[in-house]
Amino acid sequence: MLRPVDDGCDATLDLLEAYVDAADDDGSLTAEEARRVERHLARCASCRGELALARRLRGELRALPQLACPPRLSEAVLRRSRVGFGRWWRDRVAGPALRRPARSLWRPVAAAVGVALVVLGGAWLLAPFARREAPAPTYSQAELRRAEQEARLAFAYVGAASRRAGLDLRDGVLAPYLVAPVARAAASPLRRELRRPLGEPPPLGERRDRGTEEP
Amino acid sequence: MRFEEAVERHQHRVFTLAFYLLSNREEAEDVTQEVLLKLWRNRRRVDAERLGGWLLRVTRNASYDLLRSRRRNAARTAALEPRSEAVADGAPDPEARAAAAGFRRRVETAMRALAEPYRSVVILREIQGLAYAEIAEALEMPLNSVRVTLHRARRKLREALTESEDHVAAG
Repeated sequence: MLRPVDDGCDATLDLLEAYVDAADDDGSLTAEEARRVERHLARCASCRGELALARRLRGELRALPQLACPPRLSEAVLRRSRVGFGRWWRDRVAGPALRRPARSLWRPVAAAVGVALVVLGGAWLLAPFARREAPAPTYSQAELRRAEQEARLAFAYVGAASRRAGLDLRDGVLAPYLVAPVARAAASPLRRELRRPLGEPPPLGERRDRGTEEP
Repeated sequence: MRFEEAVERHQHRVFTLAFYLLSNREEAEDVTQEVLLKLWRNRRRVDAERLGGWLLRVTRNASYDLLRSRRRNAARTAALEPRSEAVADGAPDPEARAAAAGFRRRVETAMRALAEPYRSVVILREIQGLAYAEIAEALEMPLNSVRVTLHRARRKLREALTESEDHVAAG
């Protein structure tokens, strides 16, 4: 915190940095301004303390080192500038990847080139056929309506035919050839059982054939 | 001027500005490389007469882009401290060395807290020793404003040092 001690302190502190620079910067202060600062400093210990701090600070700042750029940075940039970016890319990035498998790389590369040639050749051969494809047909509204009506009739015919076939199957095939024989076969033992007098055992062959109660 | 000559002449100045703006060596190296590559890409467009100012301007912009994109961390603070110790080694006795190191640390702390354009002006003038005209060109400000800005910057630093000394004395 700056501590002004009289009316001259503010004006002096405003000029203090310029006064510090006056030794090596002619345009920093006029001669009159420099004399005013010196007159105030002669009678103000606080501003003399500020002047000492200002000089020490400037000395400290000027003592901070100018740093050396690491050589590898500029070398890397210069290498890139000399060889150009494309060559830099090839040497630094793509190069190692290509150089390492130099002897074993030609097979996959040749295979890739062969596949590419086959694909491109096929595309080239098929291109005329692809170009000769008929254009998409267009229909009038009347044609579309007629097609729709015919489609409806066709579906109706198929439906009727399938129903009729179902009925024919049920009445003409299922009834005489499947339902009736099964029913007869199931009914014949029952009829024989009903015709037998009560308490009479079934015939021997029938019992053997059935094989239900034999030990 | 050939590109190699330009790099040779300006690389340290670019690196120093980036380092003091960023307070971090690795980031300063990144910025320096980026700036030199930008110079290579623009080598036909940059006027040789204005090359120094152009490089410093590009460095400052790149550094501030980096500062905006990266959060400050403790490593940056640590980056400046070893140098303080090394410089203080030249002091006559242990007590004086400790005092000198303490003062330098306070200066560096105050520098890091300094806003723009004060900070750049202090670095370019006091650390790098550039002329006012060069700073005016690099920072694109009127010549007279450079001097005024420098004096205000040093006064702010001085006030910050006095405050920190008060804190130390009070503590």
